[in-house]
Amino acid sequence: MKFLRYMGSPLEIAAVGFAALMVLLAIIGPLIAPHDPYEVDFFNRFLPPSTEYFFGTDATGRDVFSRVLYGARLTLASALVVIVIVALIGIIIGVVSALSGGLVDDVLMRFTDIWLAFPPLVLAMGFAAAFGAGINAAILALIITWWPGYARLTRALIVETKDKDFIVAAKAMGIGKIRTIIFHLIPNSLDVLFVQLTLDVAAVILVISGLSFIGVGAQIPLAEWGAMIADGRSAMSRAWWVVFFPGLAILLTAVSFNLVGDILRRELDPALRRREF
Amino acid sequence: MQNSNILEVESLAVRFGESRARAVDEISFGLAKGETLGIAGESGSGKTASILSILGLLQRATVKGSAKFEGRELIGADNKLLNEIRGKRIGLVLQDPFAALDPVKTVGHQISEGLRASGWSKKRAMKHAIHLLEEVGVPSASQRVNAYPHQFSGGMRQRVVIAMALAQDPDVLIADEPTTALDVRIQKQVLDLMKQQCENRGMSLVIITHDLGVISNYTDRIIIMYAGKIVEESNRLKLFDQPLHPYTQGLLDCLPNLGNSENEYLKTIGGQPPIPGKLPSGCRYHPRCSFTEPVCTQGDNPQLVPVKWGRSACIQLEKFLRESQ
Repeated sequence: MKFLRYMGSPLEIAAVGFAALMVLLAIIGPLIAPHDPYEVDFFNRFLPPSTEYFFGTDATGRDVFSRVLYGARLTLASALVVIVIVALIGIIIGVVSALSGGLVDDVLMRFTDIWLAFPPLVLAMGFAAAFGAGINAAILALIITWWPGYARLTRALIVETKDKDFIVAAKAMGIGKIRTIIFHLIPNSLDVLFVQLTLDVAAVILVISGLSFIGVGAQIPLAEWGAMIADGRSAMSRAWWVVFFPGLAILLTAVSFNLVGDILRRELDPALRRREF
Repeated sequence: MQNSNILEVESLAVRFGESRARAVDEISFGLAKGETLGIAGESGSGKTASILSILGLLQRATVKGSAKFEGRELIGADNKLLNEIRGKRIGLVLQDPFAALDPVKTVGHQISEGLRASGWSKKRAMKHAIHLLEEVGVPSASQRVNAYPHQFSGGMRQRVVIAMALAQDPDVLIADEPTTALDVRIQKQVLDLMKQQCENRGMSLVIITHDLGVISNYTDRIIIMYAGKIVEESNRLKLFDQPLHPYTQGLLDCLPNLGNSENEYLKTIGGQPPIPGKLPSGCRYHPRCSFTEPVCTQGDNPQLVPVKWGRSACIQLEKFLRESQ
């Protein structure tokens, strides 16, 4: 319970709790879902929330609660894949660029600029047109358009840190280059990177849902939050629950990951940390 | 004598970036085993640049000349050789103890890192770090080892930085302005500590400073630098009685004198040190020197020649010695 002591306000505890719950549901969701999320039942269309169907049913009688649970897995897994890959590509390119300097730096950064020029939404639509719309096309489009931010950010952080005295001091102690990068350069950039990462988990969730909503991401029968909202929006006036619960899931997940970013920033900076040794 | 020196610097020159001016201009000196050497001079005289260049720590600089550690050339050496020397044979205490510690790592991590890199187990290295912290006088070392730099005061940080430099038991300890950021009482503690550690370990000590008062009590031999050149080499017993260069005289006159300080302003040396690239002809000190003769303003910068108990670069040395008596 050491961890809980570091938490601040009840809001922060709730945020961490909710983010953890979402991750948990993404893992075990299918085990606890009361219904098959794809089972069509035309006799039970647009049922309001009840003890049988916690979040009601949609236009084809599918259980919204089960679909939200399945959606958690799909949405979080997609966001995670995107974030991990873009962070890896971006951090590696940023570190190499910052430490090489000169021509390598210029070439890598101009290359990064080229990719920075693609808007994710337009590229995703292009992919959908070229390869057929689907969640994979959306993920690919996001990866391609999202890593340049990390490359630029990491480069800026490393450039700022690499001439600091403590890096010279590490060098003067005979610490090798790789060790210096791993133990000093990257940890000193991690606080900023971590905040960016957690903020981006929220942003990626929103964009994936958005892409699915406009029809170039996950396709409609698939239990994905954005696609579910798109599916239910025509019946919003008589069955609010079909759009409300996936929307609520998107909102709370995005907000809680943002707050987790704030907490991480504080905990990763020894000077801001609440505990004293 | 040449061969008994652990560190032998020969015609060392440092240029920064694209500029043609030399921040350090062909300086030569030796350091014997167990010896204490002070390098003094104004800001920008090239003290720090010369030391950092020896260890290959200068960025964007061109270094020429030679610096041999136990006969092994360090200038232009590859990282593999340099990393065998850095920390393990030559320990460096950087100028600013506030900037020389990584804010996100515990001091224990930083002190033990060199040892960990050379294959010590974490437990053993941490134990040694605690021992070192005790040795440099950090109270309750076994707890403080897990603290972060921001939790230390200036004097304690300086001790931590010294412990870092001592961690791998080097043969030479180089301290760059080790007392600049500290108040006078702590200055003395830190200097005493370094001196004592050097005696205990048979280590050579180099103290770089702009404060002659500091090194006079702690170093046997003293080198005075001006505008990238060594202008005088002397020892602490003689330096204050009879400087061998007018610049040293000027520096000594600047020291506050407690004896007859009533209504007396501190003296300064008139003018500014020359900017590298706009060096005066002849002796670089001549525009500020009160012993200047026409011959001082002409030709190349005078050579450092052995005189009496040291070396001097003053071509009017006889006149200076006569008139300053």
